[in-house]
Amino acid sequence: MNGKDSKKRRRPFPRRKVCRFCADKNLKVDYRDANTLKLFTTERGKIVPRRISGNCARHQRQISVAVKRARQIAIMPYAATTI
Amino acid sequence: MPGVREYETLYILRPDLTDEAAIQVNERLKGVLEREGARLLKCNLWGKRKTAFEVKKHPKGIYVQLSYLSKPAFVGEFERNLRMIEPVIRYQTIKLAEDVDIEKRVAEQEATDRAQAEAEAKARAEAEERRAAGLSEEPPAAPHVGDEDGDDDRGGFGDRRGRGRRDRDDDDLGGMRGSHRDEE
Repeated sequence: MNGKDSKKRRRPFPRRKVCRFCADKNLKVDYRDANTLKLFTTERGKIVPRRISGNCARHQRQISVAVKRARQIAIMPYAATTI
Repeated sequence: MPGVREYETLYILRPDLTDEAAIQVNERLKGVLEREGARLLKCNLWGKRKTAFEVKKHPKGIYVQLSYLSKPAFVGEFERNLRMIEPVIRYQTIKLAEDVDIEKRVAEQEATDRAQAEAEAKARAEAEERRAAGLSEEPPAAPHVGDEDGDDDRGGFGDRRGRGRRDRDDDDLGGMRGSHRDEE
């Protein structure tokens, strides 16, 4: 049955990402650490969704709070200007 | 009666302030802490660094971090003081812990401070040793957070590119509409 296969074209199987904060217990989410937070924002400064960053729910929540705090105190941008 | 909480206030001073003036402001705030019966845990001057965006027209700012233990009511008073000090261009207070045991926490902080100082001293000694041994190809890495200017560091890009889908999500329009990719 070829028809079914071609209809449901598979995207390449995505590698299962592991939450980096769960993998390394010593790693803490810190709103002052701009370099780490940058890994979880786009170039424009948006927070990267969990399905892409691979964070677990708990740490994604911490990340999002941390990014928002960092924005408040001008460590992270709200929106980067044109690239 | 509300318990004692641990707070952390980060404030930004105008970048054109001299070091002495910055320290003076900090001393004044420490005075407020003392007067109101808060316990200072840690005071950390990060120094001047670039802000992610202009704050009151200043592209840079002097960051100072104060950690302390206090009653919740104190924060309002402290922030009122911050507002009165003219060179403070921005501040933020964050609650770190609730119902803290003062003595225990102070001791803990002292221990971590000591450990950190030791680690730094050790790193410095090692760097010194390496230099003495003539292996000084790479300069000693300074264990210091304050200097990073927090911008224009395109270092993160490399592994970002790798996450294929991400770029498409970032182009602002239709970023939320991921569905068109999933059809077919």
